[in-house]
Amino acid sequence: MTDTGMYSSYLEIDMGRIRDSIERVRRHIGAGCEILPVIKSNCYGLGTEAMAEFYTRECGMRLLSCAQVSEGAQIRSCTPPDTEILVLSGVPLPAVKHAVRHGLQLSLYNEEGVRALSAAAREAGRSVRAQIKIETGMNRIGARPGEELARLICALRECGNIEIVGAFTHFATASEPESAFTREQLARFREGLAQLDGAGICPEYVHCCNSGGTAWLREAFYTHVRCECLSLGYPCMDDGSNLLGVREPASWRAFVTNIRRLMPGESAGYDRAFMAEHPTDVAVISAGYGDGLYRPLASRGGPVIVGDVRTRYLAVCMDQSFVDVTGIDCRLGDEVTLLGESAGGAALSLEELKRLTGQTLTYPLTMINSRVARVYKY
Amino acid sequence: MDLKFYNSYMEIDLGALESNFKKVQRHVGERRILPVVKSNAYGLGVMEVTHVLTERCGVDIVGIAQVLEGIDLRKAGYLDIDILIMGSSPAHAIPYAVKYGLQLTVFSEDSLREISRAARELGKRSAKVQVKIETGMNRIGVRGGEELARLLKLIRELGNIQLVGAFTHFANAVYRQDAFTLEQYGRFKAAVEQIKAEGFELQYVHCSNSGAMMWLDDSEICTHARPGSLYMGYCTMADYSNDLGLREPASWRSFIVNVHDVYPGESVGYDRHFMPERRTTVATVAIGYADGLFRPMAVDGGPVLIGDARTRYLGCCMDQCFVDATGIDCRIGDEVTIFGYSSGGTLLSALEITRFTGQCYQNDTICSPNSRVERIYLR
Repeated sequence: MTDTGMYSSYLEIDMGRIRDSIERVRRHIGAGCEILPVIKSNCYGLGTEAMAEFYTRECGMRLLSCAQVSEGAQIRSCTPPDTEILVLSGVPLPAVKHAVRHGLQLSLYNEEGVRALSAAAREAGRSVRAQIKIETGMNRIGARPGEELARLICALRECGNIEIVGAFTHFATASEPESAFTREQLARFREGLAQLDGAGICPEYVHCCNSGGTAWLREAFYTHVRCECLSLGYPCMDDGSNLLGVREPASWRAFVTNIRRLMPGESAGYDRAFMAEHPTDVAVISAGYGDGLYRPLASRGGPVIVGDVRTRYLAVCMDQSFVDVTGIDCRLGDEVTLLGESAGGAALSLEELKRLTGQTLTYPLTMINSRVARVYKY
Repeated sequence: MDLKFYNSYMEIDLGALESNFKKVQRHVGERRILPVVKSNAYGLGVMEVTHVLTERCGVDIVGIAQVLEGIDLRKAGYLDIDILIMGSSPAHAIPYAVKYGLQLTVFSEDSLREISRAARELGKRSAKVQVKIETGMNRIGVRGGEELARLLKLIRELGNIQLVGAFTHFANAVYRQDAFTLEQYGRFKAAVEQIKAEGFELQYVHCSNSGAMMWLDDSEICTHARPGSLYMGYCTMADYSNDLGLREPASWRSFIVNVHDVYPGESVGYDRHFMPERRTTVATVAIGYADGLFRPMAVDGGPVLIGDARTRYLGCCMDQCFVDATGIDCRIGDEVTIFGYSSGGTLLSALEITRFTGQCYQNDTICSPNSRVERIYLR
């Protein structure tokens, strides 16, 4: 248990809400399909180990995924030995042997990757399991159905020591309900699966839906859905819809460490960022962009909650920020909520921050770094 | 170089850092340096940087922002150096600071009483503190005159607080001969005189940050200068000058994991972010914004190096990003430099990136690579 007393701010994670979101997703996708958790970027800031343990021991999930080999190794060290771990993204070639050592499944999409994995497996004296990533329109990593995929299959045959246990793709526009481009991608994915089938490859795991697709593309559920945001409680839809009624689980809170009244002519912050036009009560809080606060939000007067009252940032520094508390009853030590919900229930959702910043929904969460304590509420 | 299982690495040239520090030390002459190592030494690694500072540069005091950071240093064995927490600490964290012998910054009577009580409860004879003078930043600090007089009086009354230093912080010092900075300096000087007149002896008096050190001579009252960026090798003056000839010590590099051509009608990334108008070669790179890449830069076509060739981003995902490799001879496994020097010696300056993003350079460059990024030290 982390001793949070020495920290200047903390991220509170409501595990009950996550449990509820997972139940809602499971009911929605039905029996025969399971959630494939995506434990990347410190599990979207919520903590790799706590979440990996939760998914395996409490939710009984056996197949997990992550983005990088370093994350896979960390997940391996805190989960039951029969856990399967898929690395979704492309990995640099020097990392391949580490993936083999930690028993991770890599995503294969070109001959170079197949040969590197095969060589690493041979060196380790074992055969390995892997999954095939099919290119359907994201144009990031993946083998296109047709000639490219044929070459990949051919390379796999030649190598002989790689067992293909899964096939997947990734949607580019599924956060838009009924997106035509997503259906095009799904058609190409089916083409790829048929081609694999024709070559005698019938993978145990097939998955393509991210959080967006899980909300509306029922015919694409296959064996798993990869809807980490949704099952954490973040629907991630362009239109702001929340069909399953999930709730955001995380709240980041810091503390008021100074309060001062500024008079006209006075200023606050670097470059005199805030110039008082009338008497203004300014609170300094114990978090800044050096903790992972998205600087453009705070430097442009974005919203923040003092106690249970919404107000705005006046300026931001690396370790501290300025907040307008004019007319707000507050004192030193009071809590300030940077995202999520205040103790009294005032909300500043990631959905709203996304609209304000024009960035992705999870960006603010992934930025919160190790200077911020994690507190799990079970 | 063994990168183990990492997708990218930040190379930190500690020799360059040492040489930069010594140039800065020569520049400030008699004054000593109180280097700032907050936020994991601005991302470069607080333990390695502090080691260079204390073992090779003669530093005996460092500044940090939060109590947690000071405890990390003490636990790593830095027991003899002075550690100043320059920021304001929440009341719950104060006993930890006192327990680990960290110097707290004081500016309010409330925090003084908390510190005094913590020292008493922990059985410490006294706790060392420095007073922060408010001169115009209006962040934390006590104003000279009446406010300061009350604070000094309370320090005497409490009896177990040892005042060892006074400092302030400039808001505008990246502009040479800035009038507001000179106003701030005037207020600071008066406050220091007030403290001395009250009979306090100050071991540490400091105000100049990286900007002010380039043009403000504060040696008549200051014992120390307090650079962060500057000693590391980043001169952050608004006029882009680099008078001391400092060399950037940090370079963040990743690898190409896919190279492919896309054609008109196709698209790349979420929301079909990049739509090619002609045949375009796209390199997929093994990092994204979840490694700390500043997303707006990569979404808006900011600069990046493939090998030694300058090019632009085409988009950014959480774990991977897209770079335009059209006409660039490259293949899977080649290095991509996000900022700093390429392995071939081409510079994409962290300070240039800041001009592109309009942020502070620490925010979108050296501070941003997180724990998914391996640190490689050149010693």
